[in-house]
Amino acid sequence: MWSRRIIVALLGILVGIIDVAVSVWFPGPWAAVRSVLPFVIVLAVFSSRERAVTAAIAAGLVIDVLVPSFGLVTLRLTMVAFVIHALAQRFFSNRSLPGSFALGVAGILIDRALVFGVTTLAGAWTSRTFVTEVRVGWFAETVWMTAVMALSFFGVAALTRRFLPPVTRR
Amino acid sequence: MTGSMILPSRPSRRPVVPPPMSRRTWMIAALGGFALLLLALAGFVRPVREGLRAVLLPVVRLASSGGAALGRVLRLDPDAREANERVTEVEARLQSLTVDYVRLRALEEENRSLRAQAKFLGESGFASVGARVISRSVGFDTAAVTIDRGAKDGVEVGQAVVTDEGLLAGKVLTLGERTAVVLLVSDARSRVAAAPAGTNRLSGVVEGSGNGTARFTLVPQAIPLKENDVIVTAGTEEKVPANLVIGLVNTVDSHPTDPFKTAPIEPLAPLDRLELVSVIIPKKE
Repeated sequence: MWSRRIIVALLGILVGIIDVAVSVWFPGPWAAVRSVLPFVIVLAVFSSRERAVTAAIAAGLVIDVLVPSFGLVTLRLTMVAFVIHALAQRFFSNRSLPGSFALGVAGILIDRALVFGVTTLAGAWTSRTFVTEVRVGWFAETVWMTAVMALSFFGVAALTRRFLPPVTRR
Repeated sequence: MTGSMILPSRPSRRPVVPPPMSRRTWMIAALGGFALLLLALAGFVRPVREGLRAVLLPVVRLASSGGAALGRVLRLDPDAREANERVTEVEARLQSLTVDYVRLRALEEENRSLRAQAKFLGESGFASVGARVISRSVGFDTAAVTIDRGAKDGVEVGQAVVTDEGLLAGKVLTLGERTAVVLLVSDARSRVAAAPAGTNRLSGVVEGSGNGTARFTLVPQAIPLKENDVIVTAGTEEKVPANLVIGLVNTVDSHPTDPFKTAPIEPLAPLDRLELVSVIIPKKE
């Protein structure tokens, strides 16, 4: 439904603006409170691939346009959405809390690997000065992602019938 | 009563595994991405990018001011806040006194040399345009911010960016029509021609050391330098006026056998809390 895609895109733009203009001011470990990556991963795990990719593109465009660092964020987030959705559907189960945690951590690992790859390639291909993306520590980011995945899991379980087993008696 | 009770079964809640993307879809996606990359390299993406920035900028300005306020609240508990308010007050006094000191030394130097040769910020043909920091990438060895002024406002690459007190924060690194990226003096790639206050000649280079600090390097042994000396811009860069305060010398690392000495310096501009800055723009004749 196009209306839902538009809503997801608008939400993606909103979380992108929050990441670019609000979260960057948070001091110390609070800087781990980011919105875009958890939003994309939650959609990839608990919703559909199309919505996750839509959110990734919308949020990624906002970040690529405004943030001072060079990181091809749109491409990275889209790849994270694809990979996490594939893992959720075919490898992990998206019906278990530990599975959700594992997918969140996998999303962080994939994103960091892509940041490293983009930074290395950009450094090798261009001689001009570019600003590298700043990331917070592993522990803070993992704790925040775990909290988000847990809240999302319980929210989906409580508000939808998604995890209810089918009942048939004979 | 025998028999079985048959209840209508609920529709299955087992998620349907979506079919894998076809090879054709993958090829189209890959070609689309490659085409986008080519367009970006050719510069055709730039107008779209500037258009997006123009649309997002008002919202981002608002969000940034809110984020900065929230960051200030998160930074401190009430007791530490009071103590840091006093420290901030003292720091502001120090910054003001330092700027006055530099101007006084510059005036003294002017009186000693030919007056027609000396230029100050007000007389040197420089104006300034105010800007708000809308995004930051400040980490251990990276320090850059995005401001909401760009080429349309007269900003150019290499221009100096200062705080309200006139302390050097950094230089413009890249430019858009409505935004610019400023590389702060503590960034590892930052280089500023500098001199001790009052010497009025190029003495060395201030290089960023990361983590909010910098070093004054390539200083000849003959140049006198000691702790708490004020380091200012030398004025030898085309778009950076002279006597903009950079920071204070912490220590001096000097060996008689080395041709140059080095001094770690502490930038006086609050690089981790920049919100409002000014870009120094040469006046057009």
